[in-house]
Amino acid sequence: MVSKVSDGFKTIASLTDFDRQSGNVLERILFNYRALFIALCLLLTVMFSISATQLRLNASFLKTIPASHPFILNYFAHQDELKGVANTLRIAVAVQGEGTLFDAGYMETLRKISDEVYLAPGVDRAFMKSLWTPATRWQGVTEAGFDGGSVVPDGFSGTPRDLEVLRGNIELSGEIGQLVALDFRSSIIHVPLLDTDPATGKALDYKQLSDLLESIRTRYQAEGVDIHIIGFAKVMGDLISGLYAVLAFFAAAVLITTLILLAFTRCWRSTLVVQGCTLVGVIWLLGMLPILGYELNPYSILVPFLVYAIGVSHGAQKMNGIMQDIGRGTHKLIAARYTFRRLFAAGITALLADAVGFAVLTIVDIPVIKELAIISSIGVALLVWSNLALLPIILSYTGVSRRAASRRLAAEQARNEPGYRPGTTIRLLDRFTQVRYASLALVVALTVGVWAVLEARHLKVGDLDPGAPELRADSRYNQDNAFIIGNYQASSDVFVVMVETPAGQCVNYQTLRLVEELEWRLRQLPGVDGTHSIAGVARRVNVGMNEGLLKWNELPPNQPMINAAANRSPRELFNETCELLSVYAYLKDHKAQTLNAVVEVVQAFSDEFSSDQARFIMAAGNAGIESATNIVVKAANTQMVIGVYLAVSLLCLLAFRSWRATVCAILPLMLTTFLAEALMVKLGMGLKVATLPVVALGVGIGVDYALYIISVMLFWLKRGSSLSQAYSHALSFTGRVVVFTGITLSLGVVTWILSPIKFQADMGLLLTFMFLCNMLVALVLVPALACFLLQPRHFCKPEPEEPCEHAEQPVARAAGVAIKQEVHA
Amino acid sequence: MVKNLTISVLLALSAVTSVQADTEQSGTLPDSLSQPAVTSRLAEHSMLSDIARAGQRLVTVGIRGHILYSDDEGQRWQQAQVPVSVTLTGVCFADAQRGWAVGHRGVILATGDAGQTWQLQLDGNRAAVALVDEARKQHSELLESAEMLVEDGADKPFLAVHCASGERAVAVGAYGLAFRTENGGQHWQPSLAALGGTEQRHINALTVAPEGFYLAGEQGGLYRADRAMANVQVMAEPYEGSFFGVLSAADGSVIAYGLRGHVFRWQGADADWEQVAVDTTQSLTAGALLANRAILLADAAGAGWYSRDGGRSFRQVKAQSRFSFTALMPLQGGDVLAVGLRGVTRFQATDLE
Repeated sequence: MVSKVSDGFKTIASLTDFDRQSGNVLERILFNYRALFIALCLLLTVMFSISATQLRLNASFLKTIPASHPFILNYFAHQDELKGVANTLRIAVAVQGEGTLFDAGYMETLRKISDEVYLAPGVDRAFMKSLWTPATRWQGVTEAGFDGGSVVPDGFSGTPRDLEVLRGNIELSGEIGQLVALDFRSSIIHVPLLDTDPATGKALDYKQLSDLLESIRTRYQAEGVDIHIIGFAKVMGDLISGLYAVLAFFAAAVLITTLILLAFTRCWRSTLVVQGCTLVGVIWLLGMLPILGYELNPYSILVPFLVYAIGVSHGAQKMNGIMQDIGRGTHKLIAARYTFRRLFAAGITALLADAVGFAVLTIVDIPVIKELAIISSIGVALLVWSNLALLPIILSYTGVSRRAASRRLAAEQARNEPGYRPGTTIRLLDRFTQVRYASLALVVALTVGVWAVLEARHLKVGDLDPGAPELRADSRYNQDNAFIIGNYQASSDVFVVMVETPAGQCVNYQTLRLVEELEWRLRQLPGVDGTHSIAGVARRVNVGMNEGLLKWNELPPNQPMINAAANRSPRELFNETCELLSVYAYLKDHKAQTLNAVVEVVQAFSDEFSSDQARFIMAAGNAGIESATNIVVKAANTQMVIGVYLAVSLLCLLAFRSWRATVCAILPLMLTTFLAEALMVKLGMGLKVATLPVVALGVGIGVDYALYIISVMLFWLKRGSSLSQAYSHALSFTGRVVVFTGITLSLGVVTWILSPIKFQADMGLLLTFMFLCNMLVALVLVPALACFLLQPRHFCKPEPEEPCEHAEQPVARAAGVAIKQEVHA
Repeated sequence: MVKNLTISVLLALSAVTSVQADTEQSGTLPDSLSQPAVTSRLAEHSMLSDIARAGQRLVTVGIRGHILYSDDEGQRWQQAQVPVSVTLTGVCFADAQRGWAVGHRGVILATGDAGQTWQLQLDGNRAAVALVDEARKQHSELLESAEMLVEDGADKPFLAVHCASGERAVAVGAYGLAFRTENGGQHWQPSLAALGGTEQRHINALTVAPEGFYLAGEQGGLYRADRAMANVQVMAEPYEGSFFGVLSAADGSVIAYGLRGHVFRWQGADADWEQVAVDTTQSLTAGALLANRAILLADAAGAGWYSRDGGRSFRQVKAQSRFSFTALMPLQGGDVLAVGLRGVTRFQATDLE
């Protein structure tokens, strides 16, 4: 016999027996010109590989903020005037071991470091400050009036006398707590940065600057000082370094997946083909990004991982079909065409389901999340070609190892033997179709669900850890940050309120009175450590002009006096044209509660007092921007969760045409969603830009499991199988695929837990949890819910030709032939 | 779900519009002369400038119109009702109930209930007008200066106050301002003699002695005045720097202290002012007479300077916490309370022996 029937497809061993014009148009084009197609793909791969080398890794913080939130629009409108504020590095040079900075050796090292930093690219040299810069002065009141000079005395040579003078000058400089540590064991080099490197005219390269600083750190730590560096530019530099580390994780993910795939197929040839095709898809994606004008940022770098994991799981499904056909003796080209025929449509549907999860993310008004959504969608679209088309075509040349194929076939046939007993796992899971175990499972799930909902109510918005939340709490940067916060009067969480006034009127007495009032209201908040504005400077200058007598601490209704004070004010407090004041609030932390309280006070104040003379607007400073992000993230979360559930519910309704089945698919997902939020509470993670997309991704991809299982169950139920039989069939047909998909998806992201970038680790952990947990609840809760919702009676129509109630084995087996067209997706 | 979505969209929209709309008709902040001081937990830790005793009660005044009182020797403080929010600079009590507090913008406040509530008796605008009237009445050459004060408005501070009785008190301040009352503050009478006698230099402090007042002030200013402030005379000027405080000791000597660690002692009559060596270059800004002829001074860097010999020599003592001090108050039991830049702290009796 030349051919025999296997799930509707004839087993054809020889190409001469095969009708090349069978199959749909697409199949005929692809397979009849398969050499051409491979050549085309090869050409594309070369092209995209070249293009991919142009791909830039960027950590631009602008993309992580909600660009159309009013706070951010206000910030952008005044960004230029606020420039000097945000972008400043602080380098603390500390004495190692015992001793103080009143030491000739320390001062000499400090001078060398100060000189070296002065020459670094992008430094705004005129405004750089250290003990050695001439701008650092002491001032004292004498009988004759003011006296002053540079803090390091002229001709300083480190003699004990010089050091004594230095000590006195520092006491009079007002820099204790600012440039000099409260314990005199370190001092700060204050380095304002320009956005563009004046030497090259290009945007400041944070990575290059960060590397230079690290080299300074390494060299001078050998000379007996400790160096601590903080500032936005350093965070960016560290983030970009972290991104390069993530590349290594990709290699790890590929390696681990290769091993799993090998265990799954027991065939090197097919493992390599699956990996190769998936990587081709990833290369196309990476190559396409620079062409479309995208860069990879610490968030969107997740996409290649996800695309890779999705690609591998789909590739593995392809392998499954081809192996069985080849095992039966079908020619490899024909087997490949059969697989394409069976799975192309189903594969596209499944990938669409994934894309739904991504697409919902575009409603979030934060550029990085939008980009994540768009790049993911592109990636999934590319997988259609690399894994649904290219993969079977390559297999049509390579085939698979004969032994692996025979093994797969043997297992398949064993399942269809009359006396076949399914494996322990399947029998265990099958129990959940019985009322007793189903009830138990549902009660447990309900209990866990209620606990999770209660716990999830404590979910905080925003970043909860101190320091730079992008980096780990124990990272070098955050240790440096803790050092500087601990030894200086400094806060790393700054909320800036901007005050717009008519030009030249920014220091009007009435305006400053309002500024003071706002500051005082803010300082009543437990989360506010202190405030800073031109009003405070005016008070201090008033004291200074009256011989330092504290009783003069008042904002006098005396405009010439205030103007004189303004002339002595630091430049960050108002702009050149004197139409914008900045009011700084230094916060204890950047928790959402703290930020909300500040926003509330400022909003109420602005509502009450803003006028054409002085308009109080939010917000700048890292805390100001974070408050806007929190507001948007919180609102987006609700919309996004509703959106993704609407979308997957619709998808399930279309796929199943049964509300009962839809409920069986959706409820377990909701449990995972609540559990993920509860997990975030338990792990002290806040809802933020990084964790916001996780639920959408988890639900969008997680619904696949239920789609696989329930569609098979419905098939059998409609043909009269008992629920238990239907579920057993579903497990036999798709169980392996479900587990394999769960594992590959998790492995794709689990390596992220090791990322030096904190939010990537958070994302990795949560996604791994969502992928695994969705898989488990699909295997356990779907049958348990089905026990109450999806009994055969719900599907039995009183039509004579459809046997009902007690399905007979032969009928079921016959039906099994047809089902394989629908399964495997 | 759709409903929820709609609601959240609406909420988001309304949040946006409310931010953009802003309020066109805005509230105005009252003048600091008519804006009551706000009760705040921060008051105890904010700048305090003077402290006085009303019977068993301690009353201290400071920035933003803060007045705090304590009935347990400075352990716990309560904030008084004050009708202004200017910085207050001086406080005194005539008895356990009646007292006055003075401050910036020509503010004089009075209390009749041991410092729990205060009433405004004078502000800088009224003070300037009173000075012009007085100058006109006396046909004084200071009329022009007085008129300039009216033009400037209420921007000059009083810096110290002395209560003689429930009826009589004297307030002194910047640019030689001095006012007195004889009727419990119903009328505050300007002193042209002070304005002229000081050549309009700041009067930073005053102390009372049996023979009248001693005033200390800007640019070496040391003055003697009668009780009515009708006659203010420059004393010898041993030092060109400013004096921030003056004490009249039990033995009749007068001790003046001020800029860059300078202390001078005068034994009265024809004696010269003698400089006393204090080992600091910080300005001495607070002082108090303690029991047994002891004197405690404190400086702007937060150090105490203690003398057991009536001000002939001083040694350094430390307070519990260190900040710039403005006033000292001996307590029952020997501790000395210090107020200043960051509120309240104390010198312990064990350190003052």
